[in-house]
Amino acid sequence: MATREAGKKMIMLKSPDGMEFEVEEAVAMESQTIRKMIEDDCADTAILIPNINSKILSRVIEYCNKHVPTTGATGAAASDTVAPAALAEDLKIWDAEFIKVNRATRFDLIQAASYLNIKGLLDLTSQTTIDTISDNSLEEIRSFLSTKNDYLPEEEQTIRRENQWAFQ
Amino acid sequence: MPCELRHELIVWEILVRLPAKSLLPLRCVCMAWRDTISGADRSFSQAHLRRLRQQDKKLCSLLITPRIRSERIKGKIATPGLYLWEESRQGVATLLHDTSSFPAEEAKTRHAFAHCDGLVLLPAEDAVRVLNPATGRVLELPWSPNGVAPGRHLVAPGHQALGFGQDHGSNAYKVARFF
Repeated sequence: MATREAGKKMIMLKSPDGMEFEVEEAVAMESQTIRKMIEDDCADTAILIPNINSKILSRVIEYCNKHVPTTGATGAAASDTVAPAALAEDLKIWDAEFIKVNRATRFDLIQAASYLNIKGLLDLTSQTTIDTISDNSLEEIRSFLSTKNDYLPEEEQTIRRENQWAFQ
Repeated sequence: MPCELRHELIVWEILVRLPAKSLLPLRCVCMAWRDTISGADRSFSQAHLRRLRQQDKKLCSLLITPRIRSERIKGKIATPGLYLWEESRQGVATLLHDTSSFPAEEAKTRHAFAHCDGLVLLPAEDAVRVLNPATGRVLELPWSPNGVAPGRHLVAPGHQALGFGQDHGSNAYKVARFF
């Protein structure tokens, strides 16, 4: 394990396309999956993150960097001068900007957040997808999530009748 | 298509976060979604329920209203049924389930109801029913000669209490009553 600054443990994360990211242990531990690996002592050298390419992994690290609880020299200075409410508001604005990505990236982020078990990122990424589902017609939902309507016309009629109250 | 979200992720990360009301129409999307949302395998509905329990508790009550027959007030009469009252929506109760179609819907025929995980047990003289206000489904339980009310003109004397809850062994919802 590399040590860059005094008192700060660093962790090496590797993406399957060969990129390496050196991050603070606290930042990496925003991921419950990585936290478990570190706690179980399975993370002596670099951790290979399967299925998440470097482009997505770097965005995930960016998110964790922003959301890691602020401690230590730099963090303390920030939270001393800014009220917690203002910090939360600042994070919200930052999140809103962060999630302005295309559909494919968002799906990749959901997959990465799910695999790495990062609750905040999962809430953020899935919520925007939920908004899309809530605001659109069935046909739009199908095309958005690449799901095919495999009902026979009469089957669809039956299930629609069952749902009638819900469509009112 | 290259950018797809896997079915498991759609189900366990997206659909599970939706409220029941938005979830039900989505059964029309495709068979796999229907089977997930209301199929025989109840693991999804259980996960959905767990998530609801983790959320902030909102103060709310279930209200049941009888059919009101008024000689003086003609015109608009409240729909008999099951209402949801929420603290956040002051003074306004939302109709969850209209019971006007049930026979013997009179003030005297309604008795203490019970609920569990959003299911409502509704004993009435003609039949004992379990309602699911989220899906609108009604299950009428087998008839029993033992009335649920103190005997008015019923042959069977006395009344009985009913119990309603979840069996944690089988995860099934059960009603206990005398037959």
